[in-house]
Amino acid sequence: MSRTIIVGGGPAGMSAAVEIARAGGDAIIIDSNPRLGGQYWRHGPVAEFSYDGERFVALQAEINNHPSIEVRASTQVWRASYQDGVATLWLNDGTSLTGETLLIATGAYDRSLPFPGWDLPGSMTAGGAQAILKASGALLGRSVFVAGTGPFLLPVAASLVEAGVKVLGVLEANRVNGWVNHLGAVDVRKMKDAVRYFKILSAAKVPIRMGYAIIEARGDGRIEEVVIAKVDRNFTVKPGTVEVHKCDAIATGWGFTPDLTIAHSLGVSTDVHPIDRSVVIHVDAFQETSQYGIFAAGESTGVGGVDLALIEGRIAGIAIAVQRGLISTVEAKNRSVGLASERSKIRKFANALLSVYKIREGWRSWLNPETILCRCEEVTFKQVRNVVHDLGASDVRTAKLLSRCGMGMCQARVCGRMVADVIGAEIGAPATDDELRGIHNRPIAHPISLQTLADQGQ
Amino acid sequence: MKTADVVVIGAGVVGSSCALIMAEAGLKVIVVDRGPIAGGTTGAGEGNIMVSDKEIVPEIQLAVRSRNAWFEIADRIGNNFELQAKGGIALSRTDAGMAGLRALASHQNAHGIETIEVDGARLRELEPHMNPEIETAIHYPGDGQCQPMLSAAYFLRTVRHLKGEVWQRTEVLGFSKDKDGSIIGVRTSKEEISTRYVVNATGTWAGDIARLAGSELSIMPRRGFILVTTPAPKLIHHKVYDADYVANVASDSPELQSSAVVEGTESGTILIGASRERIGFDSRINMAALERLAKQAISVFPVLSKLELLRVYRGFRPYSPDHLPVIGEDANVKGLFHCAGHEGAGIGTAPGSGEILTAMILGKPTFMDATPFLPKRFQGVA
Amino acid sequence: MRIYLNGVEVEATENESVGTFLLKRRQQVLRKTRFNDQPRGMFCGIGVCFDCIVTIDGIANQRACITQLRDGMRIEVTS
Ligand SMILES: Cc1cc2nc3c(=O)[nH]c(=O)nc-3n(C[C@H](O)[C@H](O)[C@H](O)COP(=O)(O)OP(=O)(O)OC[C@H]3O[C@@H](n4cnc5c(N)ncnc54)[C@H](O)[C@@H]3O)c2cc1C
Ligand SMILES: Cc1cc2nc3c(=O)[nH]c(=O)nc-3n(C[C@H](O)[C@H](O)[C@H](O)COP(=O)(O)OP(=O)(O)OC[C@H]3O[C@@H](n4cnc5c(N)ncnc54)[C@H](O)[C@@H]3O)c2cc1C
Ligand code: FES
Repeated sequence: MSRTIIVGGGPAGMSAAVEIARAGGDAIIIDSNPRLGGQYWRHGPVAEFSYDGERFVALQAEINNHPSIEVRASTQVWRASYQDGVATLWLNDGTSLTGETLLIATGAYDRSLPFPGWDLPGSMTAGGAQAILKASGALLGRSVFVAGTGPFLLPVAASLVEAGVKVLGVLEANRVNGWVNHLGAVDVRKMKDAVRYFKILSAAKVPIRMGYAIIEARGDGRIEEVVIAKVDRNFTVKPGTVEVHKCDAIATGWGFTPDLTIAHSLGVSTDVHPIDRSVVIHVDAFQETSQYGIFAAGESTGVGGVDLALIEGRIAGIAIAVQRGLISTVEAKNRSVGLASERSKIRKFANALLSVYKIREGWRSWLNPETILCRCEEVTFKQVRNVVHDLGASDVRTAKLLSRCGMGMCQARVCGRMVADVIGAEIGAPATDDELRGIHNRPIAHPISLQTLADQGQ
Repeated sequence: MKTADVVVIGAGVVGSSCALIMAEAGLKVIVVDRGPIAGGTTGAGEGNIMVSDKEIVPEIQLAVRSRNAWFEIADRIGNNFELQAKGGIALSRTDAGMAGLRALASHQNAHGIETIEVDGARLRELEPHMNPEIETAIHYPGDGQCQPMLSAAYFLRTVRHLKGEVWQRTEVLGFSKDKDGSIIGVRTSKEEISTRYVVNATGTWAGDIARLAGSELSIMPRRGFILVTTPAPKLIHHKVYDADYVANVASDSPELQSSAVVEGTESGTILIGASRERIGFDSRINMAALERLAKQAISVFPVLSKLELLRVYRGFRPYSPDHLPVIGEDANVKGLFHCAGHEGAGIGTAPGSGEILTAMILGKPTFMDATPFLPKRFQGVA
Repeated sequence: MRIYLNGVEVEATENESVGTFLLKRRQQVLRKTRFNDQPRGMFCGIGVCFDCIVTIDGIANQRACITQLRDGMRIEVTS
């Protein structure tokens, strides 16, 4: 019972584990990936990094050297609960774990917007394109467009170029100027990163087009061409700017959605982010949630990137060590020098980025009646409109249950937020905070074998 | 002030059935719900339209009429709610259990339910994936299925087309009565509606409305879980359940009861129900219930061991002290009609209940003797 | 290491996911959808979207992108 359970072995989970072990505590990290590193360090088994591998190697070495840290990889948490101060996790290998101290470090996944053809093979999320490339050198296509919004489009395009993919263009829907300078104000590393990406892209003559978006993908059974267009500040297509280009794949990304599934099951309080209305875990200065003994760090407390995840993980690890009586508060202060101010500096910057790279409402003008909104259940824009206007659905949940939109295997991870926005617009009232929270209610976090479930009761 | 012939409180399957049948009979109906449409138990139910699990005569009569009424409604307003006559199979793996099933079947048969005893070979034709150890069962061709939320939504859509109204997110605050104590209006959070008739179709919450009107009614929640699997090609063709299920329904034990009720849906998922617990409105997931349902379902259909659990539904069945629905006028408040407490059968028996209530309001004969359903059986007349 | 792809034996490498292995073999389409019979491939790449589902060792709906290849594994894809 004394060891800390860490859900998620990304940067946040890893750095927390190291702090707990340094203080003499025990921890177990659960991650569905076969290896530690999370979404950022999604490298192959033999660590081959194009960049920023040193920090991973150091963290991984320290974790390996501490016998008090157990790593359970390729293991998924399919259910979580918190009762009377004890958290219980059910794992897909049929076992369960209980503990009084738990860290939620479940990260985030790509936020997606639909457009006609976004479900064709060859269409991937920006993070997905990056993930398969990092993990095994797999390429989503030979000639691709990278599109969406956010600073993340640049590293994705740069990695694809380095891997030999012909990147036909980076389309940034927002019009952003001079953000490299902002970066410099925060962190030299970020500044250097950005300069490097621009160098790679300009050497490969990749056009970076601000205020452009992919509004349609077409092809017979896979992507063969895309329709791109200039969009205004609200993301509405500017008439007369439509271009059609041949390509065999696209990577689109619209920022990230914090993964709140486990957090929701544990009943921790959440906030709706004032800038992008994403649901994030509410934490105090020590990264502790509203539930005693449950901490959270990394993207699940608000998207902020790897550096913020690392710092939050450290702060959480140190706070856990104090709560478990492993170190004194004085010692904790010594170990946390500079962390809190660094955290608020990066958080501030992350919020500034969120404002600049906001998703603007005009994206809905790209939809046509037959555009699939829910990929799993193949529910179209027209069907969603129908349950609102013909059947009288007046809230997100009812529209979902009547149309099956969001009822499929991904449990609305991909379409939930976007459909809530569509329904809000159709009803004429934006989704409420609680409706947005409700999207993350997945008592069964991941599918679990019925046989495993049955055997558990033995 | 708004005027209506009838105000139906509750936009679940029961309220929307009442509203549909009344609107079709020419009454001006306003449906009022404090939440969205079908946001109560109806949104958590399985959609079985069962005649096979009914034992008591009035229940059988209500179920048989309702089952036919379902198909008649589909003919009238269009089958947009996945209604199908898929048939049910009841089985038991013990001799005593089978003997019980046979006795029940002949009793049901005498009251108009079609029952066919099938042997192993026929069973394999009906359900190729069923555990080969199961050698006999009762086939009920009359059992049907629908999608309950879509049903309620389409019923209410028709009500709107018949000049009725559906007020969502409208709280009922109280009732206006004349000096004789008869209802003359319903006060809501939107505006007051002038009416002589109110239908209380608030399911598990029906007691609150009765109290608000100055009467009383005991309707309690009985928790149930349903497992939903990941989508699969058509593996299971009927609704298949074992005899223990029937025993559970009638049982008075508050602890967890469950037995496998397995069926496929139009969308490819397989539903495994249904546990029954009387522990109030506790919405937490009971792992023991899930484990037990999974185990029981696999024992009937071993092929399920190759599928995964995707979602869990949780709902609270509204039940009355004698497990029969409450249909009819309140013994204390004139003009207040209850239609609630349908427990695990509210979807199946909603149309018949609506017909009884409509007949009562119009002063016409009901299709069956509805005395066993009258609220006065629980209400001391004041 | 050997695996079976739609019943045909093929040579495979360790430490690779089913999804990236198939993509490298230019098998972009992994399944057809239930209602409209439309082709789908990997989308999110990290186990979130369930678009890459295939049948693995007889178990349906397994995510190709997060399932690691194992010796003797049987994979069924529809394309
Ligand atoms: C696909 C993708 C690619 C990205 N690539 C980059 C990049 O190249 N550069 C960059 O700067 N940023 C990238 N990011 C942004 C990334 O979110 C952060 O940089 C960083 O990884 C966040 O760290 P974290 O520890 O908060 O979460 P993550 O790194 O996301 O780690 C969370 C971990 O939790 C695990 N997990 C979650 N739920 C469960 C569960 N129920 N059971 C078991 N395990 C679970 C996940 O498998 C994951 O490994 C990417 C994000 C995504 C989604
Ligand atoms: C797990 C499970 C499985 C089931 N499976 C089946 C099955 O297969 N077949 C079957 O026939 N039955 C089944 N049932 C039972 C069935 O779901 C119920 O009997 C039926 O849904 C009850 O419908 P209702 O309209 O009475 O109640 P509800 O659907 O709960 O509707 C009541 C409505 O009243 C509203 N309301 C409440 N109070 C107020 C108020 N004060 N003011 C305004 N509005 C109010 C609520 O918001 C709600 O919308 C199942 C139930 C469960 C839990
Ligand atoms: S590609 Fe999204 S789950 Fe595999």
